[in-house]
Amino acid sequence: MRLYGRKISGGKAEGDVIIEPGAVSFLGGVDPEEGIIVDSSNQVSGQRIAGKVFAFSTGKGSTVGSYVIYRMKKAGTAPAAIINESAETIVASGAIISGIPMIDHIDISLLRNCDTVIVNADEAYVEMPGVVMKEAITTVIKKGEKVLILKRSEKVGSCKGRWAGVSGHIEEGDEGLESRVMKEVEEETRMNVRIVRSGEPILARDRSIIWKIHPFLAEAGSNEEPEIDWEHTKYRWISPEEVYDFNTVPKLDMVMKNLGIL
Amino acid sequence: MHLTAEQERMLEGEEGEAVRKGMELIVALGDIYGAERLIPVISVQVSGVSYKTIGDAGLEFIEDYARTMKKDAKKVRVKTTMNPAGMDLEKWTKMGVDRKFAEKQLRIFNAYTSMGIEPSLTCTPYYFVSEPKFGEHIAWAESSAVSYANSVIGARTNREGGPSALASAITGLTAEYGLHLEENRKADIIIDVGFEPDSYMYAALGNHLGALLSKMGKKVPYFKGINPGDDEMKALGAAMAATGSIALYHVENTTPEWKNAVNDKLERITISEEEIREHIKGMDRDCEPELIAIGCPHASEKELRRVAELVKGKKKKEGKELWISVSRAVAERNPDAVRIIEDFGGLVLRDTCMVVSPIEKRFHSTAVNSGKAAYYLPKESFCGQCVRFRPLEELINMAVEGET
Repeated sequence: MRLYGRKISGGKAEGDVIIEPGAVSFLGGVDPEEGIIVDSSNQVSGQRIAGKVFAFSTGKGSTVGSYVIYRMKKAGTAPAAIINESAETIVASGAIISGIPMIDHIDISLLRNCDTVIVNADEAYVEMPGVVMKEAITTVIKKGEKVLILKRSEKVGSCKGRWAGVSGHIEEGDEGLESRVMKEVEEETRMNVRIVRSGEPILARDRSIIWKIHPFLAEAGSNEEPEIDWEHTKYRWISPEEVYDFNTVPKLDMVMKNLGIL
Repeated sequence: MHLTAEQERMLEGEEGEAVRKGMELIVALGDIYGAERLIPVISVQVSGVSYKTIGDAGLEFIEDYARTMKKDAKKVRVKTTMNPAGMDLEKWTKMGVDRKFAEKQLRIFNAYTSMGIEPSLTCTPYYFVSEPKFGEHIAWAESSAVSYANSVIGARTNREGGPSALASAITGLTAEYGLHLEENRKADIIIDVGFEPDSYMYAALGNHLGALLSKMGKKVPYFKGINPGDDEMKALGAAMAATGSIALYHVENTTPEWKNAVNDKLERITISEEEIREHIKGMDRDCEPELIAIGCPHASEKELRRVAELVKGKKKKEGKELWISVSRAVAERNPDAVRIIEDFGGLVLRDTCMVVSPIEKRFHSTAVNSGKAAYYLPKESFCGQCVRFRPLEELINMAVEGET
């Protein structure tokens, strides 16, 4: 599948991904002769970025970092391509003066170390061969000020034991997303609900699948209580802010944000 | 972003590779920061000149770029000046700079001049070299000059980096975002200064406030209760730019844009003299300075003459060095002051300063009155100095025979 971002520096390159979730300083944080990260505050400290697709949140530090990237390119120790969540001047300038393909506005949590990807910066996408996209819905049910979260059982296919909304894959034959929402709510909770609204879809990585999750907000009557099935072991009514206190499925907080309740 | 037909052609490479690269950089930065179009600039100040700061990586890039421009038969398109180098181009042996450093420094200088960049080598181009006017759009690197041009002159520039300033020099354009837009030039905090600082205290105030504002997420301070002259504003702005990336500030009744800079909803803080005195304790370390260095940013005519007045007829103490850094223009207009200081035994340096020259090779401790130098000099990986931060008169006394 392809992830689309924004072109910073043109070109196209293929390589294995190396991910740094934090910010990177090329002056002092990288050994340009060896192409190795030396900043101990980086998770990938000690690892080689030469020839890799280097994905990190953003740049930081001295503006001389742009020239360091240029030197690495000439010494053959530069990354093959750069992916940022949000580009800033230092790394963007370095990539452009060095002719290294670079894109930003990519959610790097969707990448995994050692994924082999193709960065096509001219068209502003990352191609991820072997990774497929599937679609799912997740529904947050609201009752008054509280929302329902459910603990996934050991029998489900993914994210065992973690707290989630009412979720399900979109299956062939579904007549639109809303009918899938109603089916899942009925199966998993037996509650009567009314769909209030949907939110912007969210992408989340699970092994070789990227899930496109469609968030829905539904409202239950004040007397409704869920009757859970085999897919869950517990449920709780919580305030949306309490979501951070639970070990949830990835991006449940984003789901709530996109629904405007967090 | 909207590009004109001519700009599109430049981006396509019809004017050669150097212009294409420059356009690519400016357009990408414009996209990152949400610019809708490119605008012409009337002048550019490039940074990345000292070999000490940019190293072999920078040297390589600049020489390659100069070759590309030569191949394209292109020069810079607008008046372009350059930041200080790592040495005085003539007096470098007196500074104790080694030959290897000097050779690489000259290569950088030659590459820049071959592009048509003026050999100004100063962080104060606004003294006689390149003086923008109120409201003019410029693309300057060098944070202290950016602060002065925006705040004291009322010109409009973002804080450019080395490559982006060079790109503006070659294309004559910059992306319209940030401080080029009126709405981003308003104050976001009011600073009530509870005392009247002298020039030393302005430098300390700037050193303290830059870090404080940056922590608070503030970008454009508005000062009340102070009445600084140009030299004081230079010192204040340079220090705030060093410790906190402040590129614009306003001073009530003084700077050109103060009138429309504030509204009554702004957050307000008060800074007391005690707070600054307390802050100075952290800047002024306990050490015996080997070097006394004045002129960060480069000294004005007034500052240079003041130093001459203080050392006139006196003798320099054995084992102490006194450096005054100025632009060539200021030195050339004040030959008497230069002679008095050199007769005393001090060095009037052009083209460089204590921050960007390799002083760590020769000195361990330096005394300054600059809030910017007091921030950079102690940095272990850069200058590694034990820094004394004292007023000008005390600095001079440290260097004079017979004074304690």
